[in-house]
Amino acid sequence: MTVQQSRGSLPIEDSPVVSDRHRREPSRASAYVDAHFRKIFLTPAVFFVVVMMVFPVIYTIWLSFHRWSGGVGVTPDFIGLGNFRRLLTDDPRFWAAARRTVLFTGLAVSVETVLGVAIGVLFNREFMGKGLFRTLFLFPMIATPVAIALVWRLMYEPSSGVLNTLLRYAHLPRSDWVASSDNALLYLVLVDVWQWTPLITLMTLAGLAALPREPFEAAAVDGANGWQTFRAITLPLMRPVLVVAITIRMIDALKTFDIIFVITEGGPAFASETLNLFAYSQSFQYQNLGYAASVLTVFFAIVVSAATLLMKFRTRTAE
Amino acid sequence: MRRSFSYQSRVLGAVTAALLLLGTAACGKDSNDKKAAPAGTAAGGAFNWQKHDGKTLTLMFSKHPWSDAITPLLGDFTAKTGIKTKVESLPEAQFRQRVQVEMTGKSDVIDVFMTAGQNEGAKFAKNGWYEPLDGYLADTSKVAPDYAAADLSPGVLTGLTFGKKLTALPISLEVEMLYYNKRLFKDAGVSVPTTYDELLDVAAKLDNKGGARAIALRGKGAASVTQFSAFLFGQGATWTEQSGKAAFATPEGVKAFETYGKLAREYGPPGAINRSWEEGLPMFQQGQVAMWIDAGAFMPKVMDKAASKVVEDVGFAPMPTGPGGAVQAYNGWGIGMSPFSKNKDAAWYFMQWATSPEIVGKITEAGIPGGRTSATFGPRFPADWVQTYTKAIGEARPQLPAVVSVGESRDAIGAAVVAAIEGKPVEPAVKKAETEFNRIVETAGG
Repeated sequence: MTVQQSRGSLPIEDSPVVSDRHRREPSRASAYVDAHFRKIFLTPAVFFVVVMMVFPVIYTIWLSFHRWSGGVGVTPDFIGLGNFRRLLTDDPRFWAAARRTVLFTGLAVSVETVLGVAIGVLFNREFMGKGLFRTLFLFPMIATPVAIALVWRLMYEPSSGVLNTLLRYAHLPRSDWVASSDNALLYLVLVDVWQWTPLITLMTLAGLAALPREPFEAAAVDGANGWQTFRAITLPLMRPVLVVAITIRMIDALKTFDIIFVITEGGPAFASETLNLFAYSQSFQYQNLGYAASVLTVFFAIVVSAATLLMKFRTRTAE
Repeated sequence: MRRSFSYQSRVLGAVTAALLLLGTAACGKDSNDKKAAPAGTAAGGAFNWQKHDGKTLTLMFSKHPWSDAITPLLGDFTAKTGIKTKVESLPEAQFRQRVQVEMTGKSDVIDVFMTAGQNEGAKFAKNGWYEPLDGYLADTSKVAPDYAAADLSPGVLTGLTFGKKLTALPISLEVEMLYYNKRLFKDAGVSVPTTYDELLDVAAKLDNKGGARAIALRGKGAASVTQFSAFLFGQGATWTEQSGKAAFATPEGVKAFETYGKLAREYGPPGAINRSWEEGLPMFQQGQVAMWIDAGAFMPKVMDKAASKVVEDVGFAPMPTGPGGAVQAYNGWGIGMSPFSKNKDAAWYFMQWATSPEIVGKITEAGIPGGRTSATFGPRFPADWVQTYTKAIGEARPQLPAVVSVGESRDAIGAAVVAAIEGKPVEPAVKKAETEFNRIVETAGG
């Protein structure tokens, strides 16, 4: 309809014959659009998802059943479940990396959640300079991970880094920081906590702003103290928001690459090698592309199942 | 008339343009085709430096004294041949990865790249990532009359030959050696260690004297493996058996790991396991350590007054003697051509220019030896360095195990070096590296 109206102003419409012909065509086209507009409008998005997401995932899964190295000119060699057998039964480096991935994610996300919620609740109160503090607090999250990782690497340097200099001023024994295979992962968790606690805080603040006032007023009338209000009212009401926040953070933490790669490259030895770093080594350092694909397939399964579990938890608590 | 003339000229113009286009297309094809190129020249196969005038080459370099020395000379190459060059220079680890990624994707971005035969030669050759050079070297129309190919060190050429194909031309041959600070040695009243036991002893005496730690060693996993090799050979152990399986987890091998670990942990600056030569070099240059064990190729850097505070105090010594003898270890770099290059003949011109007697002479003078047997050491070379180098070069062993997946093996062995430096139980770590090494050899390529 609208197509025909807009065409009406064109001079060519003056001739009834021509206009007839021209009217029929757009009307056919517009009829088609009318009948299929859902499909038509969805096409670009579907196309994008297929090309950028579905295809790579399927291709990676396909590749994980092959042995492939030596470049794009070499045909991948089908070996069935060979890669997975080797990965799951005969590769201690994979299992160690998997354990580290879970440890890194678990530690980082739990510390971030506790700290993030606490700071969010604090920022929800009125105090002097609240706006300024809130803005400052978000800065780590805005910074580029590679840039802040470089800064942390310099700070962690055992001989000339600022952290050991501070320890010396405080008359404390110096630390090797990330130059120790026992603690490297912990200090990487610290960087992640520094950067991503603000995200939990931000989501907490958004959630708190949306809470109803009545339960809090009722609790105040009943004489509940701050901790009781928090435990019995704030936290349960906030649960759906927190589950989403934790899910987002967890997926992100599982696939952390930049800060680990820049600060330790997965080292010393393999002490901070997570699954992502392991897959990176297998693909880009060793060119074991089929094997790397099988690592990523397993990793993909882990991420999807963890996210599904958490979302189940959310729907159950929401009911 | 006018009109028809103009019409004719237009037609002529169009035809000429079409012919020109065809011509250039044919020329382009010619210069890419190795066989057709010499026939097309008027001189009928005579060598001509200007033949590939106007081409542009991309050179992929690792940060290394050789690339530092050749880069300022590239203007001479362009003046001589008309071939322009674009240099990309990256730190070693990133460089290796970049080359591999480009080769995996069959990219024609790189024309010439630095390559360490011991490290990636077998793998690259297996994957077909080197343009074989024998044909170029044998073709008189492509080799300058004064190139003197016979002067390229035959031993090094053998090391760069895989599957009977020459994969690269030698540019640098480096021997592992002990750099020491004569002033700090004199102050502590110690002399140059000649055995590994003496090395530990001297390190203990030097440590924390004159504001310096005793020794800097590479400790960053894979990067340390090359410099650890002399320790291993010195104890009488080797990387592999005849079968290709790991042979370094013997009691002698474990002793080598222990010695290396103890030196770095007790007598070196903290954080050794995060360091390679990039960190060790400035420590030695600044006089923060009394000894440094690394490739002799860094001599020009240590003797550079602008960067080094220890120019007057530097001494060089061979690797100490152990129960396995006074075993020296070497590594070498070459330049290879990408098989996916679109400018192979021009790339070959660069390669022969960079390894020509004239340029190798200049580079050797700058302190980087190894290209040619005839190159003489200039006045820039300290006498004790030359003595250490020439004595070692005849008998030195390759630093890295001769396997296909060197990178992966280096990571496995490097983990044991890290454990040794951290003071963890050495034997289990070495056994673990052995298991991992054998697994890598068995499953090479995945």
